[in-house]
Amino acid sequence: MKRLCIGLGSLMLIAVDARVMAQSTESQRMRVETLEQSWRAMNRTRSRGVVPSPRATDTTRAGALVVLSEPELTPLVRYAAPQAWQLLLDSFGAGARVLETIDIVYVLQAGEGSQPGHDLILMQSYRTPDTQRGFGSGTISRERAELGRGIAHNVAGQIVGAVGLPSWMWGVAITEPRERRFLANAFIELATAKDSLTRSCAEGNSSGCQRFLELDQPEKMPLSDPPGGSSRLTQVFRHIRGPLLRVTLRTGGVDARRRLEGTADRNLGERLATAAGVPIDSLMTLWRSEVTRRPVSSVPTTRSVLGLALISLIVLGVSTRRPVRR
Amino acid sequence: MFGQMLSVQWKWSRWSVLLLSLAVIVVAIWSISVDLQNSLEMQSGLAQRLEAANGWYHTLVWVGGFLLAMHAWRTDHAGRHVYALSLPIPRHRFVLYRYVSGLLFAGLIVLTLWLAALVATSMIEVPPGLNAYPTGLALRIGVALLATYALFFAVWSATPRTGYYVAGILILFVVVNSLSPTPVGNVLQSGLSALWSGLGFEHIMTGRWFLIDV
Repeated sequence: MKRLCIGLGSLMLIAVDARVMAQSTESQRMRVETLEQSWRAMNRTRSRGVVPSPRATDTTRAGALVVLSEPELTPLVRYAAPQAWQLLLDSFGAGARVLETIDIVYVLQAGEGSQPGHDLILMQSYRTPDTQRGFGSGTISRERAELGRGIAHNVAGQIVGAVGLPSWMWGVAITEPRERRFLANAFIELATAKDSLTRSCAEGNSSGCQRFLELDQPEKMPLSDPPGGSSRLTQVFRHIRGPLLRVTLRTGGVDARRRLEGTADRNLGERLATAAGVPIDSLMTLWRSEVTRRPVSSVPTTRSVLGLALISLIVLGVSTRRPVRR
Repeated sequence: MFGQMLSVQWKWSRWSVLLLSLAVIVVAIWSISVDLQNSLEMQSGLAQRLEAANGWYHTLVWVGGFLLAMHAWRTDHAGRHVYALSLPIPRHRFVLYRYVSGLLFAGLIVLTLWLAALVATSMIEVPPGLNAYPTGLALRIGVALLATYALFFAVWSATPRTGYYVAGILILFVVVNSLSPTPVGNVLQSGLSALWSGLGFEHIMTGRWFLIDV
């Protein structure tokens, strides 16, 4: 009974939120109903011992991201949720708002017996318009600096799932320096491959990229080795095609999902170009720019130089003032 | 006066400078000496080689900063600063000369790296789609070497005992806080991180030091 009250209380908090209030009465009723069902599904899963009992009562909203949390975690979530949303916007642009088109609730709570600094549990339960229900949970770091990134990583998976491309579920990460580094290394592999088709992609040949990324055929699961490929090439391939979905969503915005849904019988390249609303060659150019964007500027930033100058002055000042032993 | 001090400091530092210069030449050439014509599928290994060289550059930057600063001060410490007191110049000028001398030696190492990188990249055909960054690499490593030199110069300018205390306290703090994080420790660590990134050192030290890159 207590859990039901907590669940209903959380749902009411969401229901009275301004964004939900702005929806039509019918869509609001459906959204609340779906969230309620999601919550019950989560509780059923919990009762099977899969996840600990949800104790979340507070709601934090950042953009299209809604996170329920225990009261003691709420300050942390209020700090991290906007960061997570910003990371998602940086990665997917307006396409991140695809979250608004799926009924999804995130619950963040401490793991059983967890200590400060240990991992938190992020659970999500959602229902897509085609009535499929999904549920998942994962642990993320409690570190203040890491929490936003951890949430964003989890939500990125939901965004990819929402656009209905299952073979992309593994390999689309959020944009961050470490990922950029991997991508740049993958591009070097691409540019030095023995296979001429693969190499031509790195040289800027759109057709070569389409063949290398298997865009000239329907989406398939599981992924096979690309043309002229080895297992190593497959790893590079999986990693390097992730940004393609990001630029598709970024260019196509929240409508990208709707445009993608009506093209299931076409090859992957046409589907993504339609979703992005640009020709496939332009999409390839955007993808290449995304992959080859340097992780860090090749010249030191102004702040670095000023910092160095400052530290040098301090060093000289400290050294000069030191009393000399006599 | 500066010329004399430079000459003396060069005698103390020359073997370190020469060894570091040799090391950067070897790393620069080794990083791109991959047989691109006979690569097997994706096994050219250029990315891995460049990544490994990136690590070596970081090591050399820290070692270089340490050695250059050490050579600037060690003899003065050993001689109880008698040499410094015997010079007819104020202390602030003495320290400035020591500092600038070390900077010139660091510049020599960076110049060697730049020339080696230019020669190395001119000897191979850079794969289409990639670019060579000899100047960018030398510039970044130069700034990083300047940063580590400045930090170690400050440490070495103190008495050896003070240097040991500072290093000991820092190591103890990091070890204790990693074993048992405390709120105070986390705040201090966050403060140090903020100072590190706020002064721009994060950009300097965590960069991508690749001679050939996207």
